[in-house]
Amino acid sequence: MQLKKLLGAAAVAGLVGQAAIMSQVASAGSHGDFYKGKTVTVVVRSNPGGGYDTYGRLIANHIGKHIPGNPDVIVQNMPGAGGIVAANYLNTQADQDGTVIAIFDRGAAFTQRVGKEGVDYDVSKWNLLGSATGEAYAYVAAKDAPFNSLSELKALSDEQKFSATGPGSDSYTYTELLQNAGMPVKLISGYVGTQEKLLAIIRGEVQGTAGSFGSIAEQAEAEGLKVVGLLGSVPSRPELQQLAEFMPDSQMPTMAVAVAPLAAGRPFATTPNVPADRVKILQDAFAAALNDPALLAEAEKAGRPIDYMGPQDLAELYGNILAASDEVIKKFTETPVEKVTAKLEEVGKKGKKIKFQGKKGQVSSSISKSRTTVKIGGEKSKRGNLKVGMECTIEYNPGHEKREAKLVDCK
Amino acid sequence: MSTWDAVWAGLIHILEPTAFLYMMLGIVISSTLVALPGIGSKTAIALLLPLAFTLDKFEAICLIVSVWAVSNTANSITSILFAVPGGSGSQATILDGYPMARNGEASRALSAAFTSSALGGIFGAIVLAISLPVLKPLVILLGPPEFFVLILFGIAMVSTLSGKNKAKGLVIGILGLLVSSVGIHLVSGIPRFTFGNLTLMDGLNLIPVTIGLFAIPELISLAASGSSISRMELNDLDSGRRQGIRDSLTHWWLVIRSSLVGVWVGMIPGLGSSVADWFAYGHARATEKGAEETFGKGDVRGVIAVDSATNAKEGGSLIPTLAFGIPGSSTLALVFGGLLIVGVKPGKEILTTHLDVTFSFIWLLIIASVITSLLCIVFIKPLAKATQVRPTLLVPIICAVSVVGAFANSNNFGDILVMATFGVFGYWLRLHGWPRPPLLLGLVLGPEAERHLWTSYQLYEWEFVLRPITGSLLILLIMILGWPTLKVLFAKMREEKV
Repeated sequence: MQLKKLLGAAAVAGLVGQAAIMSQVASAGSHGDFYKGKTVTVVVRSNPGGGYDTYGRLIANHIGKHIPGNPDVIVQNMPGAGGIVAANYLNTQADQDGTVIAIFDRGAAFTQRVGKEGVDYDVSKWNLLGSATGEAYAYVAAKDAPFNSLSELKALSDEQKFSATGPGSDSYTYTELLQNAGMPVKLISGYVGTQEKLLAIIRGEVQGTAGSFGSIAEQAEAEGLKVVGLLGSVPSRPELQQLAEFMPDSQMPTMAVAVAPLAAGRPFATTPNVPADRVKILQDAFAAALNDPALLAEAEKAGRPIDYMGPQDLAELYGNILAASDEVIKKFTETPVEKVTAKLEEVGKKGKKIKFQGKKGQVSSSISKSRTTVKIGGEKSKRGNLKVGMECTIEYNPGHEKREAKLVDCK
Repeated sequence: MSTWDAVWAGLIHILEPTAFLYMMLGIVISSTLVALPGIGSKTAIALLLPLAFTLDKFEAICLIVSVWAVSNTANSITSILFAVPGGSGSQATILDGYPMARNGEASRALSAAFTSSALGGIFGAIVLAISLPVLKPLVILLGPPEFFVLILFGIAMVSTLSGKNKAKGLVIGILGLLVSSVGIHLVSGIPRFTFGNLTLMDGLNLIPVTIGLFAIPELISLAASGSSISRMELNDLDSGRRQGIRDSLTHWWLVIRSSLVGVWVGMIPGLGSSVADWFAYGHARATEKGAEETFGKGDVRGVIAVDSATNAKEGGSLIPTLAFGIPGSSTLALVFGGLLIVGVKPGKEILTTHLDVTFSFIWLLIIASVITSLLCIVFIKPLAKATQVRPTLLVPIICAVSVVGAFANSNNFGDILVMATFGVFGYWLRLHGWPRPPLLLGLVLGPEAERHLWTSYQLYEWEFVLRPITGSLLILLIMILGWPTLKVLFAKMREEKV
């Protein structure tokens, strides 16, 4: 029995080959046979292992069957610079004849719009194939954290620490959105991966964190942590509050840009300049592969959801991001500033530190000799001249670890 | 199921004929791939996952877990023979392994490496088994401030790795820290020293840098000298092989200590897997008798310490994975990602109702490690003969292996340039008698130290140094560093009294 099974496993490769031959017979001659005997490369924006790689290989294993001519399909991993390397390759180096498709970074359009260093691609020129699934983000809190939901978090006045990776990472961007919604959250960066972020909660260093629902929610709840809210929909969890409900209207455009990549969590495209009929072939094959029972079974076994989004929807999504106003984009690229007018309650040695009433309780803010502008009575002054009791307008960065002031303008 | 039942059930599952065959398949594929520089167990697992779809639960466990469990044995081969690191865990093997090969002791070095690797694997598995009941408190004992200070201990090893000239070592160590800051700063997102170059954005990769620093200078001198790697007649290969096994067994205490270092590094999430070999090497060099004179010149103890630690690390890294159901490294995430296919999830279930699965893991760590080492030992003779091949044949081969290794790490041509740059620099250092290991140490530990310092500061500001464990460790570190000076001071005071 055992031996039979082993032989069966070894024969699987053979079977796949056989199936390929059969469908080849069926489709030969029905289309221009461009793909016959060709090799299609699926470029994956990260190293082997992980989500992008898994979805890339799922498509690579099954799309060949659905392309007339049944080309061989291989996977090429191309990690680097948060997906920019693979995206640049698509625009500048890949053969632009429809034999290269890529699973690219879901934030590619945003990265392009922000104008990050090294970007040498244009999403709007790509021929999009669609997205294999969407993602949702979950906010997680410690068992004994003083909030059980986003509404309770918003009502708190004490700062709650959230662990995150670092600026530019999803966990950081989506935790910053809590701040945008007016919640008293302080970001602690430097935690790499779901494991470190969750352990920081378990050790009691921080009260919360954010992570993609699929990778964090189940583990967190198994450890007795609470899922307190969501970004994006998870049909099985209607009871969880959506962050969007708490966003002031003024923040909604920012929110829309930030969240758009989640809707198309695993996007695929082929290069620019591919003839339209071949683009159509690839788009149809992509959709067909994601409907293929064999792919669906494989995805389910691997615990990876499939939720197809078509190329038109994807193009619209990226069009919106690329067309976002400078004002919205600035919210991501500039340090956030909070502005209050208050009396100085304490002034530290030589004016290096001041304390005053912020929007939610007393704030201690550092004054930099070079980076902070100090004005007294409308004239430029030095930090040493600040005195307790002065009435000042203070602009400071609430996310900075010392809440460094940008401007202290006193009467 | 009682614990003892689970122990036996775990063993019986993997001894079933087909499961055992899949374990052997995993061992052979993994060893062949990791022996090639730049290709690690992750690639091997990713390649085998499609096969796992067709397997039974324990067949899949045997295949995937063994690929992961044995990935630290065969990667010492190129480190010892050609000074080309087989993977990120086998850099420190070069320091004494390669000099041994030059002294005609390749066979002894390889066999010591393989044997201590097996012993380390067994030890790691035993520690894992013993600590099952107390996993959780162990893992949450330490946080970023403690990690930071522990890494400072590692950085303090610069002096032990510097050889005779401490000042030169310090300069190179600082240069290593500086080089480690290239790339996008994790905590602030600011690019540093990248000059708009995409390769530099991810920082300098360890493998191309190591190949450049160690393998390229050796290649140049081999080509120039015209002699084979082994400067002497090869000793009797059979007796070298026996000697290597004996070495590992007689230095059993060193094996245990180094394995503990490995388990400990593996257990602490956030120390990174390429740290274990350096910590173990530094520890051996600081504590073994006469190490000051012989380490770096072909002392078998240097090889034993490193190889037992790197393999013991894997058992350690399972500890946080089992305790919190959160994979302890990206490789383990891949392992459990694959096992999800057969319904095995990390966390509570495999510690309670399916404890036999956990014990299968532990048995695999032991059995697969031993089989791998035995297989590798069988191939020692032909491998060791490579050190006698004349350079006109060997140099082009090693050169190709080096370039492919640097490239395969992340499929990036930029990495070949990095390798070449550090190759030239490494040759210059070697020519002028500057020590090279401190540079790697700085490169490995710099980013970790920096990130934990930032996180600690964000959490507690400077008060983090007052936390009990952090404070005690800091005081200990200062005492160790200051001890030589203090010793002189005390001696003077005593003299004055007399």
